[in-house]
Amino acid sequence: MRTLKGIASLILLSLAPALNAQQHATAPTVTGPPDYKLAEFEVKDSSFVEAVSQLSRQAIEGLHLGLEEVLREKMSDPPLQGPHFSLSLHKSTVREIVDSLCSYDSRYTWSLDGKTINIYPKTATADDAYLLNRRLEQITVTAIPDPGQGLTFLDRQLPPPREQLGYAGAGGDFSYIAPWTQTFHDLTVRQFINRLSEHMGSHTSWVFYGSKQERLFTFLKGGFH
Amino acid sequence: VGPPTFAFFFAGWAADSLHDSQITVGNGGIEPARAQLTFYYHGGRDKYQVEQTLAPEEQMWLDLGKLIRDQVADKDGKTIPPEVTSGVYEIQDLSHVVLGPLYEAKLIVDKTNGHAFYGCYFCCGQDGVAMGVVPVNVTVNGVQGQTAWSTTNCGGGLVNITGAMTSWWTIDTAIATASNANVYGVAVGSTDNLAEGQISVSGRRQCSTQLGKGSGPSNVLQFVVKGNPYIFVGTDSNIVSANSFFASDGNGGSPKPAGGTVSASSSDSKDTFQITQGNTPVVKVTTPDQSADDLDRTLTFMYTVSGTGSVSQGMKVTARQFAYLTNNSPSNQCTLGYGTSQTYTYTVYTHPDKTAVDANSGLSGTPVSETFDQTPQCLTHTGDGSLNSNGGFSDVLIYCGNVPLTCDEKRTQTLKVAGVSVRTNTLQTGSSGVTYTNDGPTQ
Repeated sequence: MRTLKGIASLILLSLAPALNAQQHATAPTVTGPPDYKLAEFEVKDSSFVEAVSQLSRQAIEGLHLGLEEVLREKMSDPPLQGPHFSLSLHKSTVREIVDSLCSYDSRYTWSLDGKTINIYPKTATADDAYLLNRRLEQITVTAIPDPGQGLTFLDRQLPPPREQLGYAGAGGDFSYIAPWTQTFHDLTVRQFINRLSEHMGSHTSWVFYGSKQERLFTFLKGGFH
Repeated sequence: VGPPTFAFFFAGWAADSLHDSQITVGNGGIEPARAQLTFYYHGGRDKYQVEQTLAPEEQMWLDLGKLIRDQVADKDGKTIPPEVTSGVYEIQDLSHVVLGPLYEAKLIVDKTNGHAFYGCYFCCGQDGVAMGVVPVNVTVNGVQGQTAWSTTNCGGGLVNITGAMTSWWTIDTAIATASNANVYGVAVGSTDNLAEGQISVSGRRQCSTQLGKGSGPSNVLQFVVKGNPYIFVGTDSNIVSANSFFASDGNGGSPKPAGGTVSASSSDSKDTFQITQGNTPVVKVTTPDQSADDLDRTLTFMYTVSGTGSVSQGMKVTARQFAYLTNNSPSNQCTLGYGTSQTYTYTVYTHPDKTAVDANSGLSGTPVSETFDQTPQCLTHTGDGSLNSNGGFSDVLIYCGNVPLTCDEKRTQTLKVAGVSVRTNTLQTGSSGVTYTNDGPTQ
C-alpha cells in the first residue's frame, strides 16, 4: 500500500505543472460571470486581444477580466502578429467563450482567481520570474485613490530584484469611491493586481501590455479597446 | 346738418353732368376722432376710401364731382373712374366702437334747376351681443381673453364691440371671475361669463343706443406643465428622457378634471413627442433641430377633457446642441517617479446658448465616446463612458513608470457626446509622460 501511495504521489507531483496550466479545467464550478450565458458572441477577422476586448465590453455585472498580452521586444516594434479569426457563438457562457478564444490563439491560456478571469501567455505559466507570478508575503496599500497608485506600493514592497513598473491609459475615470487602505498576505503579483482592479467596481478590467523593456498596466472600469 | 354721434351711415351720392355731391364730416366731440369715408360704386363692388383724423370742432369737406374730375387718388392710390356717377357712401368713426362724436352733412346740387336737397342717411345699428370665445376654457389662476361681437344691420358682417362692453362678470365667482374682457380661473368647474354695454340701434335719420348683453359658458381646468426651459438635440434615450415635461394639477396631483388626455405640439414641425398618459402624464420631446436663438421655440401642451373642453400651456424653450468642452488643469498624480497621471474633468457646453450642461439637465448616462486616428500603442483606452450626474465626465491621461519612459507617439483623440464631436485633442506621449493640445472647438 505504501508503495502504491508513493506511486500515486509521484504521479500527482508530475502532473502538477500540467494541472496548473489547465487550471480553468479544474477550477471549482461557480455561479457568476464565468457562467453567465451570452445570447450571442461574434467576432470577425479579429486578433485574440481584440476578441478579449470585445468580451470585456459586454454588459455583464460582476465581470472582472485581467489580460496579460504577449509582450513585444521593444516599444518601437510593431504590434505582434497573432492569428486572426472569426467566431460566432450562441448561448455560450463566458467560460466557454474564453476557452474558445484560447483555442484560436494557442499562445494564451486562462484561469480563475476569485472574481477575476485571468488570461495570460502560456509561456508565463511556469515562469516564477515572470512579474505577475512573483510572490508577495505581505503588501499594504495606504489611502490609494486608484489602482495605479497601488503600483507605487508594489514598487516599494516587492522583494528584490526590483522590477520595472508602469501604467498608462486614456479614457474614463478609474478612481475608487474613496481612498483605500488594505493589507494582503501570501499572494502573487497577479492576485494583488486582481484585488486592486476588483475594488474599482462591479465590472472592471486590467491589461498588462507593452514591451519586455517597458511593461505597462492599464486599469479600467468596464471594458477596454 | 345731420344728428350728432353716428357710428355708421349709409346714404346715396350723385356726381354727373346734372348733379354734384358735397359731403362734410365734423367732430362734435371733445377728443380727436378718426373718420373714414367709403364711397361705394359699381354696385358696391368697388370702393374709394378717405381717412382723416379730426380734432374737436374740425370738419373735412369732400366734393365728389371734383374728386372724380381731377382723378384724385384715395388712401390706397385708387381713383373713381370718370364714368361713375352715383353710389352710396358710409362713414365710420374708427376711434369709437359704437357711438362717436362725428356728424355728417351732405348737399346734392341740381345743376340744371338750381335745386339743392339734403341727403338721406341711415344709422347701421347692431344686432345683439355674442361672445367671441365659446366656451372659455381657462386654468386655475390662469386668464383667458374674451371678446364681444355683433352683426351690423347694414352689411351683416361681424363687428368687434369688445370695447363697448362696460361690465364683465360670471355667474359663479367661486369658479371664475371676469373683468375687462378677461376671464380668470378660480377653481375647477363650469360657469357662465357675461358682458354688457351700450350698443347702437338702427334707424333712419336717427341713431340711438340700448343696453346689450351677451353670455357664454366657461370651464376652469387645473393643468400645469413643468420642465426645463430647454431640450437637447438628439435621439439617444438618455437625451429623450432629459427632455421630459410633467403634467399635474400644480400641487403634485393629477390634472383636473380627471380623465383627460395630454397632447403636445411644437413650433418646429420636426419635433416629435412620446406621451405617457395616466395620473401623472409625461411628455418626452425628441428634436433634430438646434435653436437659432435662446428660447425661440414654443412647446404647447394641451389637456382635453371630453365634454368639457381643453386648456393649453405654452413653454418657450431652447433646443440645445452639444457643441464644445471645457476642462480643468489637474495636478500630476504619478508617484512612480517618471511621467504623468492626470484626470481631466470635462464640462459639456451647448449651442446656441453657450451654457454648461449641469445636474439639472438630467443627462446622466448619456454616452461619451473616445476615438483615435490610429490605435495608440502606448495607451490602452477604455470603452465608451457616459455623462455623470453633474452632466460632465472625466478622462484620464496616464503614462507613468518607475524608470525612464521610452514610448513615443502622437495621436489625435476625438471626444463625442451622444455621437456629436465636441473636442479634438492631440496627445503626445513621450519621456515626460502624456500631454495634450486642445484642437477645439473652444466655443
